[in-house]
Amino acid sequence: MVKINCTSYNNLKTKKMRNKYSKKYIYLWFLLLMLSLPGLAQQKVFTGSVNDNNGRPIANALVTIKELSGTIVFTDNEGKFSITGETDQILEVKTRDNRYKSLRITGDQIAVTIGDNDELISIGNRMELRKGEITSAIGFTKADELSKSSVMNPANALYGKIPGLTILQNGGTNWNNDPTMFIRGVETFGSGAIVNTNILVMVDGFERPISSLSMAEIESVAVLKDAAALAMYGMRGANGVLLVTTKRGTGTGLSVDVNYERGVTKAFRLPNFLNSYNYATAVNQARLNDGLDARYSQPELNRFQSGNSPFLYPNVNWIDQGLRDYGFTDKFNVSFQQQTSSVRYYTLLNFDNEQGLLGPVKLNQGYDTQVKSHNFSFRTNLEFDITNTTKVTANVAGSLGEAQRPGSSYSSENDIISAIYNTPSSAFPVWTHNPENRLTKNFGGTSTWPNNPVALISANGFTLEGKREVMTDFLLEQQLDKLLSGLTIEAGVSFDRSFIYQDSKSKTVLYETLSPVLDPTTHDIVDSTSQIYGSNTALSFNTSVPTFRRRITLVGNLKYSKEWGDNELKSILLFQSEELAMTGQNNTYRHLLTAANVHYGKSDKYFADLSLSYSGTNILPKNSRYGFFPALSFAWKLSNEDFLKGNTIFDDLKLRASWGMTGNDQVIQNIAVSPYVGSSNYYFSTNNTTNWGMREGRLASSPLTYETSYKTNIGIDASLFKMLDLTIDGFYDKRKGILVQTAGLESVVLGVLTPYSSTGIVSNKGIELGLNLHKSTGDLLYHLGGQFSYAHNKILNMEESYQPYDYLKRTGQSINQAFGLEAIGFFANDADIAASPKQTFSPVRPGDVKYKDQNGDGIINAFDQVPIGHSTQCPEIYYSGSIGAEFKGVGIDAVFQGISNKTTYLNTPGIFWPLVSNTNISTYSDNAWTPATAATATLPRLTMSSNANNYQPNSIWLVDGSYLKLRSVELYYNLPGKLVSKMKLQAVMVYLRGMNLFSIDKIKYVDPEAIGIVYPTVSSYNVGIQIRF
Amino acid sequence: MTKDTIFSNLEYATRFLNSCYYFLPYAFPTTDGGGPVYRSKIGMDVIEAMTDLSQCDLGWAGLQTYTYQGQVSPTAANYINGYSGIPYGFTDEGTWMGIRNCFIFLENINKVPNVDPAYLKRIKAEAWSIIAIEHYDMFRHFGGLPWINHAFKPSEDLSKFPRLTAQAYCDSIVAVIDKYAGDLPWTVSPSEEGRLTQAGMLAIKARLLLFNASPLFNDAAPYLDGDASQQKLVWHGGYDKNLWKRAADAAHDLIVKVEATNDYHFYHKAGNTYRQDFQQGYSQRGSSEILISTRTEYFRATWAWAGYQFDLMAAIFGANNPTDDYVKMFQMTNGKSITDPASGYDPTNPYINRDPRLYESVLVNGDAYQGRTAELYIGGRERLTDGQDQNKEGYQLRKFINDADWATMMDRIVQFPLIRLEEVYLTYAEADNEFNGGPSAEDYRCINLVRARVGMPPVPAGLTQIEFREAILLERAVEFYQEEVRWNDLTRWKRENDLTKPLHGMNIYQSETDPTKFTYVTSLVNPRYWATNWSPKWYLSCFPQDEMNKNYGLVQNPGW
Repeated sequence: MVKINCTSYNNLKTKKMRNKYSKKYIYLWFLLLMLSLPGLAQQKVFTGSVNDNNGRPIANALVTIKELSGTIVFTDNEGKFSITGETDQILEVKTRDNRYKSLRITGDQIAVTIGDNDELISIGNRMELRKGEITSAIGFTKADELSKSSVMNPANALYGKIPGLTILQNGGTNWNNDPTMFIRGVETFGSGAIVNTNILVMVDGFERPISSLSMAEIESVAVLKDAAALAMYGMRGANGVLLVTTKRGTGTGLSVDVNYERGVTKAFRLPNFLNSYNYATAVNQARLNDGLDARYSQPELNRFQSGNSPFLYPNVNWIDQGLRDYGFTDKFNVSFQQQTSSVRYYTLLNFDNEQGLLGPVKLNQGYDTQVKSHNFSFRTNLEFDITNTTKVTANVAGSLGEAQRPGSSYSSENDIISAIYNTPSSAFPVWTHNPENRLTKNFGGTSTWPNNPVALISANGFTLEGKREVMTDFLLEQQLDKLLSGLTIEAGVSFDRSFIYQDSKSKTVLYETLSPVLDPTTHDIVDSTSQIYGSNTALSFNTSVPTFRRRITLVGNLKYSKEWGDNELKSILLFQSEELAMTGQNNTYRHLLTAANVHYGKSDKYFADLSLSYSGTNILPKNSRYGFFPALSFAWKLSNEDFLKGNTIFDDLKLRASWGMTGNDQVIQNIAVSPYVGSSNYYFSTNNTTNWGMREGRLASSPLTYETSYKTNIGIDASLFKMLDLTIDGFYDKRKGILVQTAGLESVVLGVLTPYSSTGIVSNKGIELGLNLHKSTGDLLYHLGGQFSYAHNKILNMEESYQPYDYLKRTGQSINQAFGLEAIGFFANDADIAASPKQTFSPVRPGDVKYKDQNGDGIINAFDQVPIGHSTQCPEIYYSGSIGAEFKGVGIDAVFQGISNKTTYLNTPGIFWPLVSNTNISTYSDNAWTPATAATATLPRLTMSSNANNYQPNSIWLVDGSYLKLRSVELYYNLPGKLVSKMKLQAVMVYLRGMNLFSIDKIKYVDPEAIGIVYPTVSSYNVGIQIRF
Repeated sequence: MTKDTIFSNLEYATRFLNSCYYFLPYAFPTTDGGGPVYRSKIGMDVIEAMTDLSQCDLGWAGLQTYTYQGQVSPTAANYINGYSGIPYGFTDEGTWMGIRNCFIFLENINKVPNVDPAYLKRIKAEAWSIIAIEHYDMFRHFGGLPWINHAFKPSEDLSKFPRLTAQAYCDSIVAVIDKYAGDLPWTVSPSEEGRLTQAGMLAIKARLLLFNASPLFNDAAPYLDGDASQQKLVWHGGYDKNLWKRAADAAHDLIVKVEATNDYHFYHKAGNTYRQDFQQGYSQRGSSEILISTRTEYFRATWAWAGYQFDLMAAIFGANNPTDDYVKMFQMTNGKSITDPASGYDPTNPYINRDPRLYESVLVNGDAYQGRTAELYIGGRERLTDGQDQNKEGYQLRKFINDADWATMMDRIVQFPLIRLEEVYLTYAEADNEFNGGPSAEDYRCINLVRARVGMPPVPAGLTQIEFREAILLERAVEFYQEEVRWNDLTRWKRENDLTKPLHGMNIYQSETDPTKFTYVTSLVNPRYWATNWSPKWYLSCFPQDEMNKNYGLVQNPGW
């Protein structure tokens, strides 16, 4: 103990000494610097003002003089500042929203105008450019846009925020509902178990999952879309890159932001299942349709309806029993930030809490089994100017989270939802009371439906999942002006580590089936029988570490910038090495990247970028693991040309064009050689001896390569009438080298798994449109925004196997294009069946789906499948609209987002496919065929069999998946400034916010984005307060 | 590891040969059927449930879901939704993988240094024998097939390897056996038990030739017309009596050799009952009557491995319920059929004094079971309700799973008897009867030997050719339950009647007054699709359309 104290004391002492020493060192530097400045005596005070394009003052902007590190001032509320310096020095102004301008001091009065084009945009790979000089296709959004969402996972705040970024919501709990993300749609298809459409997400320049962050710490999000932006990512850029930048310390004094929010969540949509009387009637109808006797007699049906025999003829609404109406969320965070002459820091503490939607969770002594999660996360971003040429950045972030759900580690919340949805209301009572022994109370259950939802929720124990994650990075930047003016070197390292452990405490319970004994003629209940199965066990324990992830990145770069005349040159040479290790075998991934970019600007009118990268991956075999990716791009800023000077339409007009290459290395590993693997053991001898086997694995896939995307892009950025911002992009991509299966070409007599071949080709083209109108008249501010993305892909080659008919070919269609049979009605009667082409899937009866014989061969089989609708994977059209207004501190904002050109396969048993495999029946089936409703029915007859005929993929189940959702709506009030300052505060805002409130779509019965049996997606209603001290 | 490493030392090369053995036919489910799993014939089911002997009542198994509904077609000939729908999946069984592995072995084994020449000869013969067995197994389900004679390369032109005629294909297999069986040891020591022997391969040859001589291929007219019949891929083009002679000779050669030594004989252990002899004879590794057995992993004490490695779980789930029609095939111990008024059969007490093989094949109500008596009446422990899938037909599978006792199943070694000595005797008797137009004394001796082993009296003398044929087929049904014999007996004899006849179960009701008294009421099994929509196409399996689409000239079997 003592020793430890001593050590820490010593540490403290040395740290203090070091501080002292470093301060001294800095003073020395200053001294030297001052001595070296010849015109010391000419220093004087300059005054000036900072305004935006519309002449509005910009408060709190940072004003510095480049030559005088340590001299910093901020503008006041009128945008005014005064600073000590001298003529001919460079004045630099940076606003809180990252706009930047530098100019040479000439007169005593300095007027600085900073427009939108002066915003510094991170374009990836440690490069930053002013918006006005960017030549590539980059979309972005900022904190003030994103903070209008109440989400745990920041990815869920990105719906419709950036043109070209498609975000599709998934079902599941907040803890693990990462949405699916695509940039410019899809242009590759996975082979085997590989999902190679993943985009690359970079946080502060290092690859990290966006779900590891909290909404509050994000400053901006950018999407890199064309080759000019992506070539620098070498073999990892082809699917697009999402850049996330976290907040940095800024502001005159210490500012503290506190945000608390309470939310109520509610299932977005839940299917309606039939009550027991209607269920039993439907079963009778289905059996009648199948040519079988009714299962339930009229007296039995009456008992379901009357509810007089709740144990033998129950009517249980399992959604009411298993789910509660509302869940709750809490979000609390506090952040501190400040900028001083040599230190900038931003610190955030964030706490999220979610209580889920399950109902009967408190039936146990001492613990509840609700689906819930708590997550505590933190971030500290530090920047030190150690000297006026040396900057250190150190960022530390992380989280400690815990999630809980009922059941064992082998089950999931989706299993519970499955039991709730697919146990008919008539199956059994929640609890049985044995008539002979009223004291016992057992869970109901039957051999057909052994999963009593209430038992699953409340009596099978629970599983805890703990997640710990730490993300650290450290960067050192040194200006080398002494060596060469404009030269900077930077080196950095990041170390991230996360793991999840699971602690499962599970048990089983006893179930009881009560069956009535009926009088065979009168159907009166004369007796009942009871059958017990399963058993009550004690809680058993099981702990495991299912996931572990460690990522180390080393990065170094050399930047050089120079201005001469009206020429501007910025360049970077970058080297990056990263390693990702995860649980499991063959799960270490290494990447090397050398990249260079030269940006040249002339007269603030003409810009050009050349990017080159040479990139390597350990996923590919040694002889083919490196690739070279060039890109070239141009921009012409027409609005700065003389012929457009003084025009009243365009405030800003820029044309862009780019062409280049980028790659994707997310391919199957270890397939370049045919491995001889241990498997297929055999068992000779008369005892248990195992004789190990070895055999040939899959044939070698060679030559094996990464995917290369050839991307062409043209775009326009414009600003009109001082109120309208417009961005239009058009692109044509061609992806080559996609891994495809050759099993379709090789006969099975080959006797071995066939190789893959890197010969797949997909083209992808589309347009993006972003529109933003903002205006203020008097106290009223309003804005209107719209975004539209369209991307259409086409498979040009996939080594498809022989297809006897052209319409069966997948080549030429979109990736994951839906194929199915064309339904042309329902069979009216046996004569109709006899007169129609023979349907081969299963015996058909009247009321079954009648299909179109596409090839006219008189037989309906898989050869009659045609493309129906669009792809089932990614919508071709993704759009959004936003609207907002503010008047005297009261404001409203809303974001709508929709998709189109996507097909959804309604194949969920129980919800869309009634009664299949002992599942349930929902109100979706209300319009099923019966002889009486034959004329108006939209769905085939009810049936108890698996009826392969009706449940083929066909035009009944393949439906238009488009929707338009209200993603967020917010009503807020900023307390008046006078009141706030009386309270010694800087700003106070209270708000009411709704998320995912409604959807307009054709699926109606469930969330169109989560049609399966999954933990429901939610709407949420939140009330919150934000205080800035 | 690469090919060069494997064939640089004998240890690895031996392991490679082990994996060739792995692909030998195995009749029982080894998984629940999630996708193509090699050597798992028909998903969760057994081929016996395609016959009149067993019924699959497991609602989600492939037979019940697809095959019984008539949903088998070339487009649905692979695994459908994870469950196999046909008796033999051309692309799913792994036989082609077995053949390829054997050729890789044969093409590379000479690279292994320092192998004893005699041993080298033997292991090469083993690889050739495995190739022969894989082909013979497919022959019974498809007729003539492409004869691939090396480890095929993707670049080769497969159209140069068309389907052979049924006769040529059969002859190719026989030629391999004739050439290499002599290099195999006649018998092996207990530590090598399970490796192929000369006796085993000669038995396969007899079985193959019997199938080849049977009316399915050997008849005046094809079983169904079509391209494959016209090209003689599934028909010999006429009736040739001498094919029976070839089969009889092959079987007789083996019988002569077996009887000259004492290495193989019908299993008998001193002090055993007939039932015990019968049971241990088929189930015990190293049993003196097993000529070839194939193996999978023994039961492990974990659910996933133990349950699906064998048909225990499948049977318990109801995938393999014996029918009442099968139970009725077993004669009384006096050798008389139960339909014979003189047999002494008592319908109110039907399971006494029957052929002892009944009790070891099917668990019947009241027989000793798990240290008590079996309760197969409705409400009994083996049949809790009449609706449950398990034992739905009133009987439980007994062969191979015995008491279905979890504790004793664990860590027990298992095997599938691919061919037993009894079959060789019956093969001879059958083929000789057909060749001669009636049974000879030797034919009687052969069948009666098989019967005598379980204490059954001889078949009556003076039978006609047809009566004797029926006696043989009956004998094969009661002797080889679950051994993949019945399906091919029905197909090769074109037994449409047996495949389409109504099948029955048994509902047993316990008397409420006297628990020892039962009422026996037969029930009707839901007819299978082909029972009402018969087509001879069912005798052979179809090729998947995917495979046909590869356009190398594969000719589809008739009717599909």
